[in-house]
Amino acid sequence: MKHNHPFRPFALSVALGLTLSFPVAAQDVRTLQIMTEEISPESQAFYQLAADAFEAAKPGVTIEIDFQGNMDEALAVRVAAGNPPDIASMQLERLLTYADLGLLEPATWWFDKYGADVVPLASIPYKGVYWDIPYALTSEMWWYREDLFTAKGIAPPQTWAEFLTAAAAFNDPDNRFYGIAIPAGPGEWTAWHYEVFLWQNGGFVFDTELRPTVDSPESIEALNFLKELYQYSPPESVTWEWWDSIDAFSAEQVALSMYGGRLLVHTARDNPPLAEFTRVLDQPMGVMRAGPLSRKSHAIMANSPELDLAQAFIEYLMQPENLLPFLRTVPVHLTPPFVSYRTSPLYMDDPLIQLHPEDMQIVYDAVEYGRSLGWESPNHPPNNYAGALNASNILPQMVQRVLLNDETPEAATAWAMAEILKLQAEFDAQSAK
Amino acid sequence: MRGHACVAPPTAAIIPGKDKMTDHSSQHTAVDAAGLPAAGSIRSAPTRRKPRWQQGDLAFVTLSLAPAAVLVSVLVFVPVAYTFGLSFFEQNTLRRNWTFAGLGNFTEIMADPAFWRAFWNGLVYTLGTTLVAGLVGLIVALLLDRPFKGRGLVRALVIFPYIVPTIIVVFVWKFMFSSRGIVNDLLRQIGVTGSGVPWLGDDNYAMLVVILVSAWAWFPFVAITLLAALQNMPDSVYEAATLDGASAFSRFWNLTLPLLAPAFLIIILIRAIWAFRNFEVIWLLTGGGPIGATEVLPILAYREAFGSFRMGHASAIAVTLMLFVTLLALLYFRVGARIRRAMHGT
Repeated sequence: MKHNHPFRPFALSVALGLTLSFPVAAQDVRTLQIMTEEISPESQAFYQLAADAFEAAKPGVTIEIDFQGNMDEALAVRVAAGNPPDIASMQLERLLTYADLGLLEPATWWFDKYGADVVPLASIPYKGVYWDIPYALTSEMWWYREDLFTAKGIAPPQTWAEFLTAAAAFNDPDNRFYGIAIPAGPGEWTAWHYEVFLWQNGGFVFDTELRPTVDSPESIEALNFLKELYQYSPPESVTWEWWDSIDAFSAEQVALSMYGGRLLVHTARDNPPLAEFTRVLDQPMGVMRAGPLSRKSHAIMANSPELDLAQAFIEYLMQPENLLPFLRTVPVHLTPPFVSYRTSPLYMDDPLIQLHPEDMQIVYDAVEYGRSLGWESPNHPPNNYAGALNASNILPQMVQRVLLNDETPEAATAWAMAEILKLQAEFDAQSAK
Repeated sequence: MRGHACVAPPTAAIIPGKDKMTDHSSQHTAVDAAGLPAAGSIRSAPTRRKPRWQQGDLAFVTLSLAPAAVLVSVLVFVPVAYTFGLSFFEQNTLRRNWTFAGLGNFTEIMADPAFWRAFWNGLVYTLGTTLVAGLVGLIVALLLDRPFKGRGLVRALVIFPYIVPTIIVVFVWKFMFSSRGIVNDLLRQIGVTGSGVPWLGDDNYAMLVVILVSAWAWFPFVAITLLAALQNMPDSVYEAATLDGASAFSRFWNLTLPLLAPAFLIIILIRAIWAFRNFEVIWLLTGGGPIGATEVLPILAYREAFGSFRMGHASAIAVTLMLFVTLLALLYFRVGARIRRAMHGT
């Protein structure tokens, strides 16, 4: 038998390792990495087309797109690993966290060029600086079954009392049909349904000094109202997250459900005959009108090695011939962040929008009274505790205590107050280090 | 049909009055009921040429092992050491700053009711899935050990839950337990409930469902492993017992169960180790809810690291979890060693 040299296996493994670890010599290849939470198949296809076109226009450039459904955690993982993308999609609460930590490049360059045309509130300056480039606005609205309301002779509800009456009127558990979709799952979506009624009732999660106020009388009333509505929600809404509100509506399980325009898009896809009767409502009037607003934007991560390329790609995406077809991948849900784009035929000619063009004005108007935890009112400063509060699940748990555990709103809000104060103290202590 | 009759019942030594049966094991290279090599077969192996490492070729051995050792060190020990070190620091996940905290993270998590709730939930989940999967796996193994038409097909099908990707298992079960799912439909049809039970949203039921789904996904491993052990049991023992007039129950109670015990114990311990650090099934089914009713330590650590960005806290939770799992692993090795000693009388 042939005697192998004892070093031979080692030498072979080293040779193999070296071969694999040395990259093929690059010829001025530049790679731009993008992480986005626009994960609908249509949006993904658009991003890929845009990337292909950009690459074709700029030889030597490669664009890698990372589509992430759970953007908050996925981005944190990449940043923690020291491998952030060049561009990341943002929502206000995430943006405040990252801007606070110096992880974003200012977007001044873009606002200097295009800022005058941007829809008010589409981006909120933080510490006097714009950090993101808004590409879409999404108003969360109440959608209702026009056919059922007409058949019962009930007018679309406009006030809290009318909402309650309508939810009760359509509730028919024996036939597994329910008045309204009120999620009570463990996630953020549950908190949004509380925040809607809190804001409409004149209350806030934080006051203008960013002190928690969830134990205010307005908050107690909002929770009591939510609980009244909840009795007309399907039993499985105890676990509901975002998409369940859409599914319940398109599966003809509820008469009323809150979501952005994605609800209409999915209903048209999954239950086409229902799309014609899927209509949108103003948020109900409490003390005032208020509703959640999602600001969707791109931000360039600090120290991106491809800063100029990132800026060029964002500019390319934001051109009307690119942005408006992209927004039409989920029409009504993704609405233009530019005033001048709102009436563009490139957007408005979408067949789903044309089903009921007047509904689009309700959606646009809702942007005016839109709020989010990161910025609760024009009197509030941007709230950099918002991201941590969302991640903590304190607000959904507070709501769950009331809806599922039959705790009194007073007890649940007292618990939440203590938890939020603790979270703020930890956040402040960590920020100071 | 049973397996090779020449394979000695390895645990005979721990069955009163059955010591003589251990004699046969020494002539065969055998795998015992616990999946461990029969010691006798190694001891009595025919004389062979000494392997190179016994010939003093230390350089060859060292160099051969080096790549694997480096790889294991990099992939296992470095991350573990890094996590261990991090648990003594406060660190924002995004900022990656290092502020020495001593035992601060540990004292904080120990004082946090959420930690103890997650620990307790982990114990309940571990015990629950282990017992249910163990019991169902045992029953299925006993059934599959009996001859019947189509047994081969059934054996192949039994493994199905174990090979289906977790995400599919979870979504199928999630739908089955929804208000529109088959479970509530059945309950409605027999008049138990009108509107359905919110299985995954009610803190009284959520853990139960999580345990059942996990046990469903895991019982095939128990069943197949126990079946292998059953197949290795000698017919002669059963034939002797039958001749002595032992009833079917008596044979099961006095022969099958004791002979299966070593394998069963090992499987249960492995399952306990895996279950205590399980993340994906619970995360996908309930996200740890409702109101923390199914939140276990891995989920809590994940939330701390990538939700609250407190990497130091998350590392302290992970280290605590690791220590507990290490205790279980030590128990596993001790039990394994004890079984080996009992089997081979060493």
